[in-house]
Amino acid sequence: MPGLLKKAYQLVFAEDPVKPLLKLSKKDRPLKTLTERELIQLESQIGQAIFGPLPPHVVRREFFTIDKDTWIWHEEIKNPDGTKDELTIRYEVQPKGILKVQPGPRYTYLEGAELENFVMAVKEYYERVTRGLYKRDPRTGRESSAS
Amino acid sequence: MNQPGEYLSAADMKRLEIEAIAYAAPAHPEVPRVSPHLSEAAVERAMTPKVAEVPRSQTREVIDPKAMVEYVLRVGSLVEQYRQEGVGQMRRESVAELTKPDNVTLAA
Repeated sequence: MPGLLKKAYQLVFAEDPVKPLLKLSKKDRPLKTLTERELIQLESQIGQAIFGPLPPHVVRREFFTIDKDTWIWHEEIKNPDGTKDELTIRYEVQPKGILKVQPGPRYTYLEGAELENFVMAVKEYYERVTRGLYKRDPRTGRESSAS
Repeated sequence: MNQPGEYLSAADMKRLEIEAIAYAAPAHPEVPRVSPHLSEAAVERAMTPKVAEVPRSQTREVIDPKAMVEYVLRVGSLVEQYRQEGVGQMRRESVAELTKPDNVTLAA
């Protein structure tokens, strides 16, 4: 603890505030509790990465699951005139199929290639979030030994 | 890097079929290791209805939509479970660190 205080003191009063910051190790950082909201935000950051880099006209993209029955796709697009458009699509998992709810509202059940691609995206989401965020083996659900 | 036209080949479809069957049974979905490049290319346009490289007749032969829906539901349940278990957990990493590319990229 004295070491941490010393580093904090150096950080606050240093002439160059960046230099002592580089000396901070992970052990010096306080433990942090994560809320459900933060976890969803983290999941979404992982989820949006599934689809590769954002195209230049897309300023924000989110892809996450709210609960076991609901998935959200959200995109903010910058138009050439500088205005922004938002598109939010909700996917509801129902016994009959995956219901896609678009603004309007328009309701359609996923089928064919779109259904397959959605499942592929969900699969990637599960694997990345489970492994990267929750530190578990996606196949077994067990916590990774490395975490 | 796979080109868009290469994704969801007949081999991919067969793999999906096998996975769809596997997903329906075990407590945790079996997620075979796949090339991230292949998967990224495959899901790149997942949210758009315009993708149609695979003939729909072939799709209907090898894919069971019910198994897919069950799989999505199972994944949703598991993620929800892990999330609930993760709430309040103490983590030393910051939110920014947790989402660093290195931390969210699949192992090869």
